[in-house]
Amino acid sequence: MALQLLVSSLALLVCICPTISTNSEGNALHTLRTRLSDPNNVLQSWDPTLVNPCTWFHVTCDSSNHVIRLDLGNANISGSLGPELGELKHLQYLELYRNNIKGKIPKELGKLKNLISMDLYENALQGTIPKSLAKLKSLKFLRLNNNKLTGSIPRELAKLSNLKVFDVSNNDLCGTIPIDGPFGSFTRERYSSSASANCCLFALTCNILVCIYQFALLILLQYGSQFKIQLSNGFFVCNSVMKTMADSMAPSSKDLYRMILDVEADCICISCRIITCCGELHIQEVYVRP
Amino acid sequence: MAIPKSAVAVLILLLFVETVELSWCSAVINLQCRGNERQALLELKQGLVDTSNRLSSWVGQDCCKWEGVGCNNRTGHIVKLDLRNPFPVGFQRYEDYGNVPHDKACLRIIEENLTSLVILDLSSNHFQGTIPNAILNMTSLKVLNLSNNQFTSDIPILHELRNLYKLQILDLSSNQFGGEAIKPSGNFSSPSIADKLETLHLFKNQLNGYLPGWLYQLKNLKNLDLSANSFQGPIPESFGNLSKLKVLSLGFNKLSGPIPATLGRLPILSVLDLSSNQLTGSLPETLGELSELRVLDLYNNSFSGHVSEVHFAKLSKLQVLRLSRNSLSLKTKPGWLPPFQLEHIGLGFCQLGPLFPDWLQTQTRYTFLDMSRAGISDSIPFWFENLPSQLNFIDISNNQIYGTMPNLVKSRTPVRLFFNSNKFEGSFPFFPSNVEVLDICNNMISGQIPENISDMLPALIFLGLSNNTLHGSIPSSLCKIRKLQYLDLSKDNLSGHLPQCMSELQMAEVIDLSSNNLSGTIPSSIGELSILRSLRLSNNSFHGELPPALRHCRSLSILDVGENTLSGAIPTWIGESLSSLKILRLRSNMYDGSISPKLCRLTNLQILDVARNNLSGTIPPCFANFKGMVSNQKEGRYGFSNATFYADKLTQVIKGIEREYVKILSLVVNLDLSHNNFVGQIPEQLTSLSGLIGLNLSENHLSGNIPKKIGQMRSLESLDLSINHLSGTIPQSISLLSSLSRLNLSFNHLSGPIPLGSQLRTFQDVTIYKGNHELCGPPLVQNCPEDEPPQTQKHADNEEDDNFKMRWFYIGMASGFVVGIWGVCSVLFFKKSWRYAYFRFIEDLIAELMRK
Repeated sequence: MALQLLVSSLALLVCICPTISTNSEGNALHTLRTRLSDPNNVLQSWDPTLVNPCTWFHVTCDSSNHVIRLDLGNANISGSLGPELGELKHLQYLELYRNNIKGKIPKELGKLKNLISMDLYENALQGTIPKSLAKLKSLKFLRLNNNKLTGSIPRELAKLSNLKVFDVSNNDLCGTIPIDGPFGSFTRERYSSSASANCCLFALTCNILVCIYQFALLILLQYGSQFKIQLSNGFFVCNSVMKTMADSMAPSSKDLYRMILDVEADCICISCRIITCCGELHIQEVYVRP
Repeated sequence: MAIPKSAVAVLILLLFVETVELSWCSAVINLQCRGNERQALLELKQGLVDTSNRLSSWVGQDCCKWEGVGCNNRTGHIVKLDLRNPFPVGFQRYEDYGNVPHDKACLRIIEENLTSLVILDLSSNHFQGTIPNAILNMTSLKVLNLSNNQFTSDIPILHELRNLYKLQILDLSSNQFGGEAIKPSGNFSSPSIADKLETLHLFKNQLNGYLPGWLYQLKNLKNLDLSANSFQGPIPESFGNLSKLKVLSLGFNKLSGPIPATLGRLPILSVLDLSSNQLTGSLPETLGELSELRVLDLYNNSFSGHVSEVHFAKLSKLQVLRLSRNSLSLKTKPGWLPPFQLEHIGLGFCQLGPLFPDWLQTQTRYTFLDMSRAGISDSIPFWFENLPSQLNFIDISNNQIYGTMPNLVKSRTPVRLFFNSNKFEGSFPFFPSNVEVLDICNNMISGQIPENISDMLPALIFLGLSNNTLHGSIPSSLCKIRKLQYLDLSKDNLSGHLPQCMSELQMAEVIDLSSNNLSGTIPSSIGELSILRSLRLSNNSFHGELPPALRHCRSLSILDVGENTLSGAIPTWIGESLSSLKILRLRSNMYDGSISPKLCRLTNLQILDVARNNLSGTIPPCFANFKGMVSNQKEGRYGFSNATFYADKLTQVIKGIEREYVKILSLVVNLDLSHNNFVGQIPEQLTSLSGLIGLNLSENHLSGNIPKKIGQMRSLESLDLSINHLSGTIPQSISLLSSLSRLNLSFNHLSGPIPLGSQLRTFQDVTIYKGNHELCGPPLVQNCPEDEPPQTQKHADNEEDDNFKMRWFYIGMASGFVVGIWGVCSVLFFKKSWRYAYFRFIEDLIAELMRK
């Protein structure tokens, strides 16, 4: 009898416990707030004692009171993001663009299974692009451009089958670009709107230097992995023409020249910054002209 | 929360007094004060502004008997000068000793003549500017109190005072010292201010930077209060070396990181106040070693982890325990006997449950108990009903406590009870008659409000019964609770008419009867409630018109009578008389006619909700007068209510879902005219209401264009213009609305490309554009015609775009020029007849010119 009672009371506890932790999304956002500096007071309404965060400004909930949007673009906030963002399980739009957010992209963002759009562009984010983002099956828009991200583009991102827009330009990324999955199917039009607004993305690994402009990106996505060319100097990529910049042309760079010429590179980048991750490369500027 | 603070303050004060070792005696009998010192004081008096004549006793020969002056009883030297303002700020006789011009002769005279001054107290005056040099050189000072003035400092303040090496007590609190307290690497070379200092009070200044590591050099420090500054960074471990420390107050700064375990080494620490910082981590178990600790205040940080018996092991003297507003979890074994008897128990937001903590049974002296949001899912144990006799505050709200409410024993003092947001059931419970605040909202209390409620609870200031299942009518005895200021009976099943006697509630500030089944007309007698600030009668079945007598409620700032069947035109007296109105909600009634421009006189209005009526006519352009809608930055206006126990609330539909706005209501700025019969254009002036969070004009008969300057409404999060007859293109400026999270333009006659923009492109749902057959561009499938390319995000996006275009423009221009020139030249070069014709023409031209 006593045992039965114990079991039933344990069962009761098990039933009750999940109902206690309500408002986890509100707590997560409140924790985020403590990380952020907010000179314009845009987070003034984020009162943690409310039942849920659905009346907070810049937060949007669905009818079941789950947070589906976080709209803090252009809000003049600074600070960093934290693992708590992973608690916003129902989030569809994470709009934090054009602020001064520093620190890493938390790997916990990979928990946001319903995310459609992640706009973190034009901040001061550092570190690598977390592999965990490959778990965002619903993701259509991933814009991380104009940050200070380093490392390579994780191969795993090729699993994002719904991805329509991918922009990582103007970071300090290195390495090759995935060629399968959505990256293989990116067409010129997909980039047409953003192409003119941005500069080059340079994928740069030791012994491989590739100028990837978003038009060029298309090419490199398909052929990128074939570039195994030692290069010790800069080069131009022009309208269907690529020339070596210096007189002392590295012997193997001719191969690169030919290969890109073959695929009609349409790089219209004007001025680009190169960040090398190889000791022997010392190129500061690359000019591309029509 | 004033109670714990004052408790802390009293304790600090006690400790402070205890440490002062005064070596002077003001009752001097046979000694005349020295002439030069008397002269110095008279000079000083000349230099001070003393409008209330506080220095009137400063006459005659024996200056030792002057008020505020103390002499050494052996030498006759003046050792004490006390110009402390005895009247508190705001007191009628609070007059200042004005500004002392620096280095004025009188102060130099003091310096030269009062060489043995030991105590100098200039506190609570209006002294401004930097500390006079004369004071900085009074090396004999043991006590210096400059608190509560407006002193500033150009260099780190302790560095400035470095010569006062005999100083034992230094109080610089409540001034305007900024920057760092001392140079970060500052080491004190003996003799220095660090030698004897026992009390250092720097609270309420604007000091910043990291907490200086040198503090550990203050070997004799007993009281350290650095609270209410902007110090950041971690608490230095070296604090553990301050072995004489009794009071450590670091509250209201921006400190981060964990509590160093070394703090547990402080053998006589009595007060540890780290409240309202950004401290993290779990609490070190060494805290349990602080056997002298009386106050442990960690309120409002980000501490996490478990707190157990170990943390309290030796805290037998603990009186104030304040752990609220953290993510702590207090787990103790059943039957734990705490070593302490607490007076203040602040455990809100701590996980205590699921069982009601049984150790509370051992506490018999507490006056304050906060166990809100503590994860308790239990019934109230019977022993809880025997409250300590001094109790005046219980908050067990926001748990899952079930069963009937406790039958509390009456305590000696007025009590505030917060039992709201639990699962209490049963009929209206019994409470002691000295309850002044009773909040049992959001429970499952059923039955009727007792007929004799004024006899049961005659002392009530606040009665909150909202969101239960109470039925029956509002008893007229309620009107006899004369002190009642806040009455919240919303969201019950109350029925019947409003009692006529409501005019007797002369202290009433807030009356909220919304969401019941009340009926009849609204009684005119409510107009007699002259200090009424909020009247909510929404979601009932009131009919007829608003009684014109309501115009006498001049203090009214919230009027919510939505969701009834009120009819007629919107009364013009609202605009004429209720000039304090901030919120007007007439939603879902049967109002008709047009909106009178008189409504525009309500310049403080920040929420106007007249949706779902039969209003017609045009939207008055004078809506631009609603200054309350111009900015949503409501500095210092956080909440309308002054009371800590009541927050105004209101339901609003802002992003398409009806939600109740509580606590943050004063920030909400919304204009909802939807579902009426408004005609004409959307006035361009409306776009000056830049504080609007929501603008809903849907389901009217509005025509014309969307105002071009819609992008000015930068705070807009929700914009609904659907189901109207709007035409033209969507203005480009709409892409400036970077907070927009809901947009609906469907079912109009809009045409042309949908603007591009950072925020606009996050609206992928095409239904928001539905029913506008001539819209084109993404996200719609319909492409725009070639001559109408999608508008670029020129305004909202960076200038790089423009730059880029300009470069291409120049490149194009250059190449065009070359091609043009070359085109002409090449023709001349290759075609013989044209070449001849051209040169002949030139020759003729020259000849013609020569002839002239």
